Amino acid sequence: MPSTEVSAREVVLKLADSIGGVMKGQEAAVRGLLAAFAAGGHVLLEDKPGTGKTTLAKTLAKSLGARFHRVQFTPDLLPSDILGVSVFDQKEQRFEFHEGPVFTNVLLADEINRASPRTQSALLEAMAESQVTVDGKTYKLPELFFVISTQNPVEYHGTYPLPEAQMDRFMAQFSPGYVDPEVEVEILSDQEQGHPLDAVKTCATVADVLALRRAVREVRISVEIKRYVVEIVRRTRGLPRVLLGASPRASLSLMKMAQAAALIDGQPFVGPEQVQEMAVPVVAHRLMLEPEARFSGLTAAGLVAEILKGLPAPA
Amino acid sequence: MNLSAGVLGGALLFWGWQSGLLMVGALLALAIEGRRWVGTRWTILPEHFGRISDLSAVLFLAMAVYAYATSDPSRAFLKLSIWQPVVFAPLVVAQAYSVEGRIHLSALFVFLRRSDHDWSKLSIDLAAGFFVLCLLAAGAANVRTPAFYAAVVTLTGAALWGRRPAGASGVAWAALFVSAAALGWAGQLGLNQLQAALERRAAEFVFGVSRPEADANRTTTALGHIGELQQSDDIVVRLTTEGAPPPLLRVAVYNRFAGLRWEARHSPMIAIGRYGPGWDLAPPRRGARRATLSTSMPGGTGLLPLPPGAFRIENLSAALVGRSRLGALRADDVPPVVVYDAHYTASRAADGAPDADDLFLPNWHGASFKKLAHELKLEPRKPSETIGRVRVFFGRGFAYSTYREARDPKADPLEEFVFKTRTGHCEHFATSTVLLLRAAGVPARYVTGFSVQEFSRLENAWVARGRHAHAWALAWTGKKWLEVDTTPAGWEDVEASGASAFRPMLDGLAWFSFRVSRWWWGPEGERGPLAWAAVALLFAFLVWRLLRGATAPAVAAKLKGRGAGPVRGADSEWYGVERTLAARGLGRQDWETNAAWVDRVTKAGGVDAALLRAAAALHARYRFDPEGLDAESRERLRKAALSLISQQAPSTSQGIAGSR
Repeated sequence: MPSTEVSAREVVLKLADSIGGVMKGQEAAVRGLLAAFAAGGHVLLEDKPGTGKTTLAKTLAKSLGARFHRVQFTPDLLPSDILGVSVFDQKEQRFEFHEGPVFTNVLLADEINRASPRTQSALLEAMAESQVTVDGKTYKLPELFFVISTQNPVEYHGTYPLPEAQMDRFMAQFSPGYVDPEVEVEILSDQEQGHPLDAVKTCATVADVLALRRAVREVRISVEIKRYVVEIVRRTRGLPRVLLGASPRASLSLMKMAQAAALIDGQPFVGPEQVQEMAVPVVAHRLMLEPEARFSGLTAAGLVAEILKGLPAPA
Repeated sequence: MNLSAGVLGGALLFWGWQSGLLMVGALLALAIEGRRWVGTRWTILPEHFGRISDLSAVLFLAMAVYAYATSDPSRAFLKLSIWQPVVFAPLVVAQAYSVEGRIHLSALFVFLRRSDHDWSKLSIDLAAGFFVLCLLAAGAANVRTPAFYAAVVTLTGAALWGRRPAGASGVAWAALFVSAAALGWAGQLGLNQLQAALERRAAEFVFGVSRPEADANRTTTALGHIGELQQSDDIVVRLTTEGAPPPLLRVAVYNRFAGLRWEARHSPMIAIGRYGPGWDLAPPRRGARRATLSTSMPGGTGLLPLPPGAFRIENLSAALVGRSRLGALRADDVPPVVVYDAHYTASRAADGAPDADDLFLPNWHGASFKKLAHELKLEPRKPSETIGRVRVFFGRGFAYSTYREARDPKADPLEEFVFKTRTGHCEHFATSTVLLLRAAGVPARYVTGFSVQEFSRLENAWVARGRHAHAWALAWTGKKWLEVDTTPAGWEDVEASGASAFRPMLDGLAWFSFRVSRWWWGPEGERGPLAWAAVALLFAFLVWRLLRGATAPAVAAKLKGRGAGPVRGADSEWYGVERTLAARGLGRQDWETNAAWVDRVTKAGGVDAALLRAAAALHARYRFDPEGLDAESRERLRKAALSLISQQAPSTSQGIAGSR
């Protein structure tokens, strides 16, 4: 295994350790978050309140020696509150651009579905192209730009569900979920004297993360596995009771996530295991179900799991 | 291969000998039996077997096209049957030299290849099936000698010898087999005699009186039809002759009028022969003329239109031809379009002497027609004079019309025609003529057929349409039967007036369709060059498909499961491990990855977990790492897999290891 990959894996393992110290019993979500982070995608965390979504995001940010901004999305939040604003400087007699919180390495968009669609879509360009355009002028975002959004699936009053186009911009969606009672007891014990988040130390630099992302791109993937990826995504398009299947961007994201997962596993190539593991987080949130299907208890994650069970895995 | 050495080779030589393709049979036998001297075996993937299967399918299609293009359907089937060993030979040869010695079932069926289910684990041995196929193909050559049976028995005995029950005595087995063969010989002799007896009875059964023959035995007239009589414009018969055509074409003759129906009494169909170049209906005559006729017979059987005076027909592709006493000719087992030649003379053919049926008058018409005959002073006179007076009677004051008004519903339509309206169509004229002649003591019959009056410039032939269907009378002059057509001249114009404006265009289409049908069903000589062209086209298509398949980028290949190209690392011994554990009930689910399966198997216990994981990791690299395995790692994978297999099933490791 080349030395760069060894160091890249070390980076990701250190981050996993650091986050794991705070997020007890959430190994799968941490692994998924790190895979998306290493693959260069953005992540949407959707779960009930109090399950550690924000803590997870903050822990990752703190573990990195990188700039971190948190934006609490509210209905009155304006695009300029995120992107920045041009202010007229009377002294210099010109407009000066004041960067918004989006100019950062890690952006935590907390409760993103509380903001108006106009504000939500302001993030679109930033997430897709790592740049923002204000008053006709384009500003590049930092090379390391990672968005973690959280949203609460229970509350519907005063929320604006993310449009499909924006959902597609998120590489993966995870739901950390409730932990086991034993783990919950452990969490209580950990926070008796203070929050473990306060003890988190920086364990990786921006340069380390950029090297990690390059290493992910070098993970080998065979044509057969690519076909497997495409077939999984393709099958979502013909499913009954699904209004909108996953796009080719989903295939690309699944491939990258599988590459990142393989790197975390210390495997220089992608196997079907990594593809299967990442299929639900990558594909499910992009599917648009018929309203009747949702009311009958059908879930997008369940549909993707069914596709996996109906498709012979390369072996 | 589950057959003893030499059995398949022997079957192929036997097939070659019987079919006259000995050289081909010898080459195929050498190719298949040669595996015993050639030690090398190849790993042939299911995809490759699929391609070979496709080749066989194309060979079959090409042979079918050629066979059906150059032979009539019955012979084409036999020809195609004879060639079957050549069709399946590529698959059997591939199986003979493959590592597995079996063929994946999915290779044989396209729908299995496209199925989402993984059928690659199901495989079959084609040897026994191919052996039977060779014997059947040899039988299709139809060389009826005792040597055929002897050779079949010998080859079957050789094939079964290797499969006899393990504990059975060889001598007892041989004795039993010879007894069975002797019984078989007696049985086939009996079957042969039964077939001959059935064939003898066939004509009686097919043409016998017990079977109602709607066309030849009776025809229902439209005498009582109210309103306009609709007739088809479609071309029914085509006729080419040297010089003028016969004015009428006979189809059927009837002698008994019953209500509105004519029947042929005491006129059963008698078979006059089976396959043959020609059939004689009467002794040859001088001054004969020849006409080529064609008509469609979608049901494969029907009455043949013939010129009156026809004494011989030729070039008719029919299994059986029968003739009624009154002169109708029926052909059985004919192609949908029949083409035949008829030799005829102007002098009438022998239609059989008149009898009491030819003078029969139904009670309800007898008195009125006898009265009319008396008024017309038709008797006692010479028959020819009577016939002349009848012609004159119908030629004056009678008119042709296909329209009949709704008059008194109780009135007899025939009497109404003769005594009141004097307007009707050919059936009125023909029926009245027959009854009037009979009332005058002249034996007469009722004939149906076609009037030949339209020449098609497009087809350069005379054509008879549905509306040219005609009826007329036959009258006995004392020496011969004379056609007496009393329908007024000009009836054709009345019929033609109802023709469709699109008729020329429809005729063009009909002519094209006829030419295609005639090419397909007609004499073999017409099809040879086109058949070769069709075969060449088929092969050109195949070559194009193969080249296209070879050059297209792999990514552009269909993303259909595993059908998108050869599988990397398919010869991994890991699959042997999988099969061994599957035999223990720990088979991998189709959707399950190897890693997940290994976890499950490890939990179940009874397997060296560390070795299993190591082998799985090596196999994963072999299969999914584009860089593959180095020689040393490959060897480690092989050893690990064989070790696992031997741990599970020590006695069958060599048989189970191998490709997927």
